[in-house]
Amino acid sequence: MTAIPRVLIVDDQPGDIGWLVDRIVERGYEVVLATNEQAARERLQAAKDGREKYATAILDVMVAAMDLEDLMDLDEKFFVDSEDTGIRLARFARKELGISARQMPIASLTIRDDDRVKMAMKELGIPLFHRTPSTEREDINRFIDKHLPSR
Amino acid sequence: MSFFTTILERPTDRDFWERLAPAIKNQLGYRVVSLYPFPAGSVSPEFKPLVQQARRERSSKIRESAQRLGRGALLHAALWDGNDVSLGLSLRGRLSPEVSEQLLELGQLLGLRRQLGAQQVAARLESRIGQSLSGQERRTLRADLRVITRVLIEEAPALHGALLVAFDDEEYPLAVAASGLAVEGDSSLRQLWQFGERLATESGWTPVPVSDWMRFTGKATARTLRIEGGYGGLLILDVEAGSPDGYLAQEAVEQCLSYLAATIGVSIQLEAAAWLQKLHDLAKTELEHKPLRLDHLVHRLNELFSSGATTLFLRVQSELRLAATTDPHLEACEEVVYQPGEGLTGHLFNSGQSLRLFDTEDPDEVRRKTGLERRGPAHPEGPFVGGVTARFLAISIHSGERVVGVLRMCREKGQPKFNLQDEQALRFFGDLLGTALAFALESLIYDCIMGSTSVALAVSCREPTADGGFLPRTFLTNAGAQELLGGSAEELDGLDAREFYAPGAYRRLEDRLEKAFRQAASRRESVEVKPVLSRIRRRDGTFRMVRISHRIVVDRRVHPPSFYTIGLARDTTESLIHAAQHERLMAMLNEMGIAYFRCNSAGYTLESSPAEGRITGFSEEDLAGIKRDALYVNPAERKRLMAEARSNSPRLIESRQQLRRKDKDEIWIAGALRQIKDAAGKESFEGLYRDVTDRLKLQTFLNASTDRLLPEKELNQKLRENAEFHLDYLSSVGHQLLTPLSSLLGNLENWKNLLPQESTILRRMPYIVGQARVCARMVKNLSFMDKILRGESFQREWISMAQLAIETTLDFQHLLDAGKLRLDIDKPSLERLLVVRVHREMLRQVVVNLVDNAIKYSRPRSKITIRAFERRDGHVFDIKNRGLPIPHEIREKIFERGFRSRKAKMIPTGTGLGLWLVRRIVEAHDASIRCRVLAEQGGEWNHFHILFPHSHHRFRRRSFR
Repeated sequence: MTAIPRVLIVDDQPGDIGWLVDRIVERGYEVVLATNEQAARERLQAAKDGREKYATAILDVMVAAMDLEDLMDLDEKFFVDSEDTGIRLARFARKELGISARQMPIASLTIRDDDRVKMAMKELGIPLFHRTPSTEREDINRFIDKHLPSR
Repeated sequence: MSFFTTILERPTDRDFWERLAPAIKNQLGYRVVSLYPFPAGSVSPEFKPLVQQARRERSSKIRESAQRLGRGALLHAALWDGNDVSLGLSLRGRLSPEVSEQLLELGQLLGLRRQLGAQQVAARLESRIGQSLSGQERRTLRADLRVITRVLIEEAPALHGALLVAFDDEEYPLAVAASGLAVEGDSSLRQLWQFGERLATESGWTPVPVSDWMRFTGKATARTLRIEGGYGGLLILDVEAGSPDGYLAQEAVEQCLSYLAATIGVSIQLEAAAWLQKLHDLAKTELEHKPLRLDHLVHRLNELFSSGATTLFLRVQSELRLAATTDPHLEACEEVVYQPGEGLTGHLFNSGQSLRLFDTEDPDEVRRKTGLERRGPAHPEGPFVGGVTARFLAISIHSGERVVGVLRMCREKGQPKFNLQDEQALRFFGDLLGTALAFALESLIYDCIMGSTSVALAVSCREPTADGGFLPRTFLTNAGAQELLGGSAEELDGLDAREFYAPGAYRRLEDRLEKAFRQAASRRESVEVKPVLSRIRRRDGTFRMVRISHRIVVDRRVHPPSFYTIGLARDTTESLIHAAQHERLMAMLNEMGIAYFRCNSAGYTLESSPAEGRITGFSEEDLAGIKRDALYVNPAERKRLMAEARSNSPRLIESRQQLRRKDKDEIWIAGALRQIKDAAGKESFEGLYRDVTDRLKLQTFLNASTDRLLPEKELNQKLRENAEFHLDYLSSVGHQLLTPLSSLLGNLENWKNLLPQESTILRRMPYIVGQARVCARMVKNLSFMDKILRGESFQREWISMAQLAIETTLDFQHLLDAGKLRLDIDKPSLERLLVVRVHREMLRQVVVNLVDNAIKYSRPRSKITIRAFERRDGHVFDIKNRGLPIPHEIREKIFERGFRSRKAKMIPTGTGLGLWLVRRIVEAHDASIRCRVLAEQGGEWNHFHILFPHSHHRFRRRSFR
């Protein structure tokens, strides 16, 4: 039996994108949620190793670096900024792990459309969508239609 | 030998000579043929050669004459007594060695006897003269001389008359007295004077043989006396010449001469002293009179000296001008001026000596005493002869070494000459007068000098010129003027003062000066010309701006009055530059809104710039009337500042102060203050400041400390940070708004295409509502933030915090669910303790933000508790959660705007605005908030405590009743 294909969503406030989760689930996919950068890295590593398989990955550009529970036990020196967590993750997947777009298409979501993020994502060949859906713009729904056909 | 002893026993016995002939016969056994005591004039012809020989050889001569007519031999003897031939003898008998020896011895004895006799008489004379003089009450020279002559004729034998004259140094009689000798009027005196002249020119003061001036009295002898102090005396005696007593008297008087000279000397001194006393008294009354009454003075002198005319000239610059005179002719003259060396007066001005003349018209006398070739009277004062005739006495008046005037007096011909005593007395008076005059003149000018603190001072005297104009000739410059004009005192002396001005500069002053001169001429006191700006030409040709004032001083002691101009100048070149700089600087400060002030230590404003008026609202007039303490919100601050400025003097101290404007508004100023001292050491303070109220408000707005004024750089940094923060904040708010909005939209989009099952709607609905509320909450945050920042007032109402907390919880249900968190609200404690009078929506925002915060930073599955508790100082709203422990050092910082801890930054949802707004709202309600971390129930809990102080509570109770 073929396993239900999975979609990796990286977002620390999944309540806000409940609608997106709903849509993907309705198309017959299973959503795997990573709420922080650390968890996301683990999932991406597993995908690279072949332990896990994802149809696509959707990254929030600004996601918590790690969960609050873990954060409380860390020393100062481990602190990293959560500003560019999405970029770091995308770079990790494409450059460090070498996961190609063919192997796993990745989309990114952002609330800001600042140039720095746009440039970084364009360089990695990852489309950047607004978290707010809009009919006038290229939005995440098109990406879903393209890569996650209803089953 | 018994005879010889008796010779010496009574040396002045008048019958001695009768007893001598029998005594010689007894002693020698020779009959005396003839006996001539003191053979002066008439002796027998046969005796004459012998007497002459004895006198020539100064020894006794004895000769035996040829025997004739059988009468036996005759012995002739001229006996020398050691001083003169005192006895001529003719004895009948032959010469033998014994006789010869005894005669020689007799001659010696006679000499001894004469000396003894003369000494006895002289002693008696001296004692009587002494007694008589000391018994007199008022001694004058003339009276003393009379006493002496009387005693002489009374006491000395064979002395029938005596005349005594005291002469001054020019052999001019000071006084004459005679007893038993007639001296008649002027002719006698004139003859005495001529005699004195001869003595002075021919034989001096040595005794003159009687025969040489027999023509004068016929039978008189005379002696001259040398008296101390340049005086002389002449004693003329009418004595029985050739008689033994006459000889004795002469002898006695001879011995008395030095005593007489000393006695007359004392008399002269006493008389001179009395004379000086009179002048001293005159000086005392006249010279101490202020101002000097010179007219009065010359009249008094004229009277005292029995003078025909007395005139006083004073020095003005290099000439003498008439000051006062008793001579009506001179007084009527328009101008009486003597140049140095001009006439006798001018001669005295030059020589600085005194001069006494018997006859001014005697060219010889004038030449002898002055070296001048005087051809008759030549009075500079005019063609008239006036009182200046014949007898002349003049002295130069000194002040130090400088001749300041000439005092002269004269008598007409036929009047007595001025004598040495007169001269000495007048010189004495002249010295006193010189001192008084010098003091008067110097004080006149010196007062003006001393009265001025000006840098430069030059005095010029207005001298008339030949063309009817005048020349202000400089004669006195102080160091300041020498510096200003660039020349030494010698170089400036005598220059035309008008040349000190730049071309045209004097012309502008001229009218004012002329007016002042006219005023000075008509008034008694000096006239001042008010300071004006003018330009001075220095000796090197450069110019200096000066502030110059003039004083016109009139010396009215001379006629016509002489005018002095005293120029007082201050170099203002530099001060003008400084003043201009100062003015520009003040204008700049004014433009920059920086106030300048200067005040005294009592706090009264001495100077205030317009900027100060703008800042404080007090005008310069207002400030002049109030103490500056009134400007301070805390008046004690000013005293403290002054003390600090004093201890740091002369450095500036910086300070920031709260002032109260005239309209009672309180403002903040920042500036610097320092103590200054003027030349006299008087203290004042000056300072600069600017209004920094707005700046401090800005700093407050920027969350910067208001303890100090931030430097521009720091402030700019803060402003930039603030602007960046606002941009960040806006985008962050946008982000946060967009997230729930897009969630709402996403759901609605989904449902637009395909209406979901009812179960899905029910599952999603709380999220959707929650997201919408979050949006509303954030928009409210923005609006409250605006309200708080603007400091707007707001309405309050009584609110139960319990109710507010419960309402708020509902909004967060979905977030609580997502984090699997539990929120406990201790309703009873909140209801019991926290019913507060607040703005409902603002307080709601406080609770919302605190709960939002707690949810954001709480561990999953942990508990958040809201409760109230009572404290000594008030009631506390407490919200606690278990989350990121907040380190001690940032527990205050988390309330600052834009602050997020490094750990919180790992969670990308906060804006750093929530807690800041919480604190602002809480403080606007007179409550306070703080963050605490407390260990309880096995872990660390973050607490946020809002303390509503008792004032809230009491107020509530009261109003509820």
